[in-house]
Amino acid sequence: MINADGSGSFTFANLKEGEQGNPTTAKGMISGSYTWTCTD
Amino acid sequence: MVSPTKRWLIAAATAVLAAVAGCSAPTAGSAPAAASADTADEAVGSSDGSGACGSESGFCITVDITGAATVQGTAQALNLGTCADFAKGEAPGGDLQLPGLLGDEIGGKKVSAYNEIREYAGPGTYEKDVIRSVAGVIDVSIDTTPYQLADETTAQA
Repeated sequence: MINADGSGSFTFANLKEGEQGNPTTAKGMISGSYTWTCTD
Repeated sequence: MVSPTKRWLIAAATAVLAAVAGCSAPTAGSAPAAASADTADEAVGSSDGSGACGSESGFCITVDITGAATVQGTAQALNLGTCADFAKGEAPGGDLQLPGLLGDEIGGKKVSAYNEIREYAGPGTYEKDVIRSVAGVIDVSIDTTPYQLADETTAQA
């Protein structure tokens, strides 16, 4: 979500470890968010 | 009998002692310094988003990631315009670059996340299909390990 005051958030679930990761191990997943505030 | 000169010396010495005592009070009150140290600690390992960002202009980003890797903390990023300009976007139908992390160290891990919203139309909510990195898909990297879209991925900005 992007707010008019410049703050916002980006949330995600089940992003999978890419092929550049260790190819010999099971691929992991991450979920989470980053949120931000904005100051002029 | 104490001479006027001696009385002056005693008064001067008393004044000096009082001044020293006065100075030591704030030193003993090193509470402000301790408070600053606490703030600095938060800047390194804060998980509540209050640590790394001061009052400077720009973005204060709070990261909370769990799963194969765990990252929690805050980082600061530049905003080249005003907050209102950022929210408005550069041009109607253009792309909006989300505040980016470029290998910023957060909670002891290097985090990169540099994604944008395609065809940005102003403040609101945007779904996975229009959130992409310059490589064309959502990208979040932790300690050089990239995490990318899978069939079961959901995302929203």
